[in-house]
Amino acid sequence: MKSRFKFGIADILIYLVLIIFSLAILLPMWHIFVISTSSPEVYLRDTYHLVPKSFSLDEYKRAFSSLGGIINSLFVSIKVTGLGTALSMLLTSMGAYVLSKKGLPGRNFLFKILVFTMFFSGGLVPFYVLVKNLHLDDTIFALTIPLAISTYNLIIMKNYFASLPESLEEAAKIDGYNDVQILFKIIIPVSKPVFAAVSLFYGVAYWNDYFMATLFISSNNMYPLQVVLRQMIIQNLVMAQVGVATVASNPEQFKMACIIIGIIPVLIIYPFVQNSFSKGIMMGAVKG
Amino acid sequence: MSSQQTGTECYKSIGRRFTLEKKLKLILYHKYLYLMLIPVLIWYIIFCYVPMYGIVISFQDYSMSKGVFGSTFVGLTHFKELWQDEDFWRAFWNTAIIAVYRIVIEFPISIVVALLLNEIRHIKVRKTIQTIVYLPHFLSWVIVASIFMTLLSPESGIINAICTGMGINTPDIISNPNMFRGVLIWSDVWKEAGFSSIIYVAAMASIDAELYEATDIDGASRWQQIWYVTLPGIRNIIVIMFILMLGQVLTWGFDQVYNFYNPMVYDKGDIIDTYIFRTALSDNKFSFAAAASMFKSLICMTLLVVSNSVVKKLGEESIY
Repeated sequence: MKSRFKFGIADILIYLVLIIFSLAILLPMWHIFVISTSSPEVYLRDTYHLVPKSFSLDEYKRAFSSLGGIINSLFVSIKVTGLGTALSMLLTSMGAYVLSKKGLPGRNFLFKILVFTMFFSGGLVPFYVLVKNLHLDDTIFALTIPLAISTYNLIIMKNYFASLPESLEEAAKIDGYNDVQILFKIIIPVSKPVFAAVSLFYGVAYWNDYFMATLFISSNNMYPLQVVLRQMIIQNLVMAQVGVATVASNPEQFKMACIIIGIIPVLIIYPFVQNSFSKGIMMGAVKG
Repeated sequence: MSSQQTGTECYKSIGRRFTLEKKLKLILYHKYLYLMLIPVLIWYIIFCYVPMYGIVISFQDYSMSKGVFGSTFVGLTHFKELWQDEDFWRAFWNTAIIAVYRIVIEFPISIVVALLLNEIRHIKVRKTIQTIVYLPHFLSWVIVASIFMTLLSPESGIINAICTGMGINTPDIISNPNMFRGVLIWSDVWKEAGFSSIIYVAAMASIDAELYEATDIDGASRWQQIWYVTLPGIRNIIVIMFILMLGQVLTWGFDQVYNFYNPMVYDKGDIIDTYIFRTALSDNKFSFAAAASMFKSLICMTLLVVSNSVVKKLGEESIY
């Protein structure tokens, strides 16, 4: 941007601040990783160290064999995220496409119906009663259907669809496509960036949700990962059951292993999704 | 000529003459669009509009077995009770104070992060830093709260290490009510400051590069460029994000507080949403909790409408 390039004091300060911020994010995670993999003896001698001094996966074995069933919950989470995201994308893209049509009679009114729900909601109690009455509780549907549409995401997509040239659709109409075919065969394929970004937002929301499961799931084998991790780390539930004290184990290290188990799936996916979110946010929100 | 083309003509003639017959034709022509909207509308009606009968629950002594139609009507009893409930007001003021902290501290920080990122000219360095600071956004509050509790725990963690090193007693930050709000704010900065800067970074990227060149020639300092070019360039986005934030500020943070708090810090950390959650699901006071929800929803809506109209009056682009 600038023609003359000087690396002055200001630059040093900028780099310094950002590097400190980055380290503040990375070091705690690294520390937790190091402690979770060190042997109990080393941990007891030196509770805080950043350079690995020993290596042991005992706490991880304990976490995976514990009664909460981390592996099972991992599958539940994957199922919820997959099914939920697919459902969300189907409903959101249909709604967004229809409402992006400028000449559609009643469009403004229909759009207002949707937007009103961003401002006013019935609250937790009626929502809870509703899902119970629909007999969705204790099924995977309680974790997906009630969260299927985020109006914010729908607006992002609508704005993007509205910015596409109309000639695209006119050409398709001449070829004899109807509106449903146009959406799925023409519009969605050319909207990959926004599609990827919005899927990512939904996916993250489903993956990280523990609240719906806390409300509606009562059988152990239906709990998603976040709930099981919460029970292990924050509520100390599993610890009492496994009897950590009986084996040579340390509750702090056990918790840290659980934290790392929670971080790893995100780290695995992260490189693949990194490019899509910045684009998506830019496209949707710049227009409000 | 195919039938689709006559449809297109019909669509175009709408501007000229707008009769009922034409309108019906137009609706019929768009039948597939309406068809696609039906599942979406059904979802909104079931999951957003049906729960609005919470308004009715809050005027009743609701029990799940009797349902809305069978429960007795008790008028404003729950609202009166709410008005006199000290715990509710404690939660209300906690929410308000934490909201102010968020607006004053977190909102500017994300803009500052964006400005700093924008000043880095080495693309590789910039990408690396962006990759790192966006990461925590993708972790759940369960994980982030666990990370912070581990770090701040008096048994292990860095605070303990530092304090032992300096030879002082380790403070118990997590269960100290006076430090709790600080923990909330800074953990949220840790998690979201990077990610919420994306939108500003994107807006800055779309500022015309010639503006910088022109001010360069005029001998503007870097600080002046930020002040006179970059910030005005992203003003619209700042305004929109600010209104959106005001609308959410009272609903914000349930996930976070729920994972961080414990009964020892209710005094400073219990917010309206956690209060509603407890009264509804632990105490089973459904109607009372519904009344509290209603109260909160009304405040949220007022905040949003007021801020939006203020912004409109000031001549900025508003959200609706």
